[in-house]
Amino acid sequence: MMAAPNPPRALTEPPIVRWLLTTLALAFLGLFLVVPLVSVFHEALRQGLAVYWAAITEPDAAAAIRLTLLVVAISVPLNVIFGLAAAWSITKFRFRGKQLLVTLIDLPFAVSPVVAGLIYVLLYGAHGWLGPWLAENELRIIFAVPGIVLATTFVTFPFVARELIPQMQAQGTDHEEAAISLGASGWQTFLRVTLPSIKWSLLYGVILCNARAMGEFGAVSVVSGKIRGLTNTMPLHIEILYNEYQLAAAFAVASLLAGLALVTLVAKSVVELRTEAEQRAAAQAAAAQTTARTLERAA
Amino acid sequence: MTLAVGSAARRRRSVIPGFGLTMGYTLMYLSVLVLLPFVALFFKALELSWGEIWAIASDPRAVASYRLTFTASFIAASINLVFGLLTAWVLVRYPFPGRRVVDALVDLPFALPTAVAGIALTGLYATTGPIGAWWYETFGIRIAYTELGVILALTFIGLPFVVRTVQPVIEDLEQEVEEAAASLGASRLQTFTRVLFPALLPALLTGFAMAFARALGEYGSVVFIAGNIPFRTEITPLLIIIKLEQYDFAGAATLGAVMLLASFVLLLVINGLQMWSGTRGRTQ
Amino acid sequence: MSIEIRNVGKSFGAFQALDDVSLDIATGELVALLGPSGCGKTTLLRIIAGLEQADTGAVAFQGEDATRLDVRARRVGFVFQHYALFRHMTVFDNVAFGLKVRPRSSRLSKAAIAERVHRLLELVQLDFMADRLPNQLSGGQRQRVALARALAVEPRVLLLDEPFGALDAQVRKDLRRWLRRLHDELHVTSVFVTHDQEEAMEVSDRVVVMNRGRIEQVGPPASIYDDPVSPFVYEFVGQVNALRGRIVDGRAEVAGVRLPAPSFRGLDPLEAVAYIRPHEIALADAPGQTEDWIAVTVTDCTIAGPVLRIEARVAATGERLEIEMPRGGASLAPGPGARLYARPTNPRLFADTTANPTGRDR
Repeated sequence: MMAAPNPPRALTEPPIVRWLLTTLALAFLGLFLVVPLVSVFHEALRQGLAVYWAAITEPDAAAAIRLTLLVVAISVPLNVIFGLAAAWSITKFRFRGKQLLVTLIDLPFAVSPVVAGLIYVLLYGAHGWLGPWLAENELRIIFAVPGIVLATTFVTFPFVARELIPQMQAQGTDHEEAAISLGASGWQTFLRVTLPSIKWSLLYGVILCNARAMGEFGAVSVVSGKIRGLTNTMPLHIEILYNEYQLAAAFAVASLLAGLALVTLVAKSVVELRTEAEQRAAAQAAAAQTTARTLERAA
Repeated sequence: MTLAVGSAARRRRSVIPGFGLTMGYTLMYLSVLVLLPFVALFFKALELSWGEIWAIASDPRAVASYRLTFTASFIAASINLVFGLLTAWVLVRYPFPGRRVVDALVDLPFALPTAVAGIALTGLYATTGPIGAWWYETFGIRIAYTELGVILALTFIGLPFVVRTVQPVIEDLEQEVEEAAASLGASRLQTFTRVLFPALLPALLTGFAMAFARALGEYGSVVFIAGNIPFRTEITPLLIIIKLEQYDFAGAATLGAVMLLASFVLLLVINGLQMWSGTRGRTQ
Repeated sequence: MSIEIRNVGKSFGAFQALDDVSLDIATGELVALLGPSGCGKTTLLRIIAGLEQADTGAVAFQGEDATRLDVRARRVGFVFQHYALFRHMTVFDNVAFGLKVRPRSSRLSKAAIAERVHRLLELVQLDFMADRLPNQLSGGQRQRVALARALAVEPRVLLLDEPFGALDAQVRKDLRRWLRRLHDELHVTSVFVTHDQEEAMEVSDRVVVMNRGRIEQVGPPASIYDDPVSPFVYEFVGQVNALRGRIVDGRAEVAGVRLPAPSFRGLDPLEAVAYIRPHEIALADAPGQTEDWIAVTVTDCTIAGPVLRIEARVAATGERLEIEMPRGGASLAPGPGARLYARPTNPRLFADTTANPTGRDR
């Protein structure tokens, strides 16, 4: 029925054990998560704000930031559309091979980012399948922006779909069928019925997708060629600075991405709290309805 | 007859539109992004004879990299198995101030770009960094630029997996089951080892497998801290990049195919584990 | 093993779950705790088990104080509404669990454990299921396994929390008869919680009716039904008509007639409610000699198996009156609109506490 605030002894651990386990867990998380995070900002600001500012406004850094934003601006919308289409086809219809399709969507999570980059080099690179044809038509994909976009898109395409599929699966097709039977068109049904009910999952997926797209390193480093000012994204720029022993500058650019990570975590938590609150409200409404019915019968 | 008609017709007779459009788009997207490049990879590898493939795949330097990648990933995933269970348990069971913040922070390795994690860990654990210096002075052991550094980085990037797979299972544990065990005379430790742990095991193994799979392919955070000494601290993904930089495309494709096979096997294992925990989870 | 509960109180935050509850349960008795949800019955059961600590008061087993005794040390068998079986263990291992976790010094040999488990599984008629996992069993089978598991440790008392609450109606009926027979065989002191009055009546030696954290009435099933001590018990146990009225001069004016109310002499005038069971009403075409024949108009008449169920309206007040009578050889077959006279054969009067808290759906 109701949980007691302090369960009897046999149902929980002694206070000393609780305290020890909590301390151990927090120490582990502190050492592995908090210390590295703090060290990024500490290193970045060690030589003062002026150095920091110079490092992130210097032309190559600015170019890297611009390129990263450009890549994200292309990849994320592409993956949103893909996520919606995939989730719609997988959850609203029955067909053979559905499980295989779902597994295929999970694939980038299992594949090394380096292998992800590699496959595009082997397909579009100078020695790849389509390389000669691309060269004839003076198209560059590898060691150019299109390759970076491709690799980033590959690595991040599951995020939106994976958030949407379980939720839309759970919601079933009743609402859509009701809307269609009331005369709504397919688009109207999607925009007015489906989309509002999945908006938080969609946002959640976009947040994760965005974070990964900004920070992707392995796959991009294979296809980029790392040409300063041209094909250098922020993570690649950090690597170059670091390898040139420009530590303060490397950490300065890194601190921007670390800040983005923190924003991501906050946004993620906000969305989670929202969804939880909505679920609780729905549960309460259901409970209130039951109570009302009981009272009605009693009256 | 009803059966045959039923299964054939149910597929088509949905009133919801858009199957052709969304399915077509999904398949096209996946073909361009996934299928075509993967086919290219295998054909590239198959340009070589089987003998050549075997020679590349079993080259001592490659084998050394497999050994490092697998053992370091395994150790890192094992560390995460223990501390992930601990963290999830504490987060669910023991309220403490700031729990929400700590809970959110667990996802940091998902949100923090791997390159940033790599340089941060290297800065801390190199003998010039605060922790690394103290450790070296105290124990005489280097962390960065050794196998230890690789394990450290892989532990960092795999940290959320076990926590996030086990946490919901702990939340869903029925209080009644623990009460039943206590009323039958089991001590708290017995309740944990005999009743709770077996219930958590499928989720734990799933989390372990996911952390392991992620660690196998990891590149960004490791290259900074590993030192990349051939035969010692060179991971397989780095070896692929080195081969690419030497224009050895077939060699790179071969190693890539080896890694890909490992990924597929793990994906199957993870799916199997999830099904196992699914059948176990169902009761009523 | 007898159970003595003394002045037990328990609150969860602002919610008072139990308020000064005292109860004695004799050795070998089968007692039902009956009440609507939130009445405190489950909390009381959990306090007896040691799964919950009372804020005030004491619990004793056979005169020995057990208030501070840990659930492990109390040696009670507890059966949960949702079975709480260990899913990853076979039926056999579930039942053997309590025997296997004993300290080595007092643990039975493997063979002895196996023997006892099989004996218990035979008792609950599930020996052939010993190697199954809980999720391969039906609800009723699972609850029997849970019972065998609780009995395996030879508990001093057996506590059951809505043991049949999650089962289908038919399974529920079979299982409660079976539980009664089992209790007659084993004679272990048992307490079970239920919100189903029929279940409480059919299974138990004594029924404890609870409401809002307090005990309303304790007694054998028949006395609870025949002599409810409060409007709450009247309304919670069985169907009842409630007619409002006034007591003047030791007589109650209800539904346009007068009923004798000698026990209220001196307290009047007083607002009161008359409680009348539907089957404790006589019907006639014309009023009899006495002055308690109520003029009614039939609004509906249904046949429910052997029972004729008549819904009528009291002519004087417009109140609804439900009447039940055996159908066999009924000389009356009133249709809607028929005017009849009804005489309550066993009415009970209670002062009208306007803050009447109960629901009337039972």
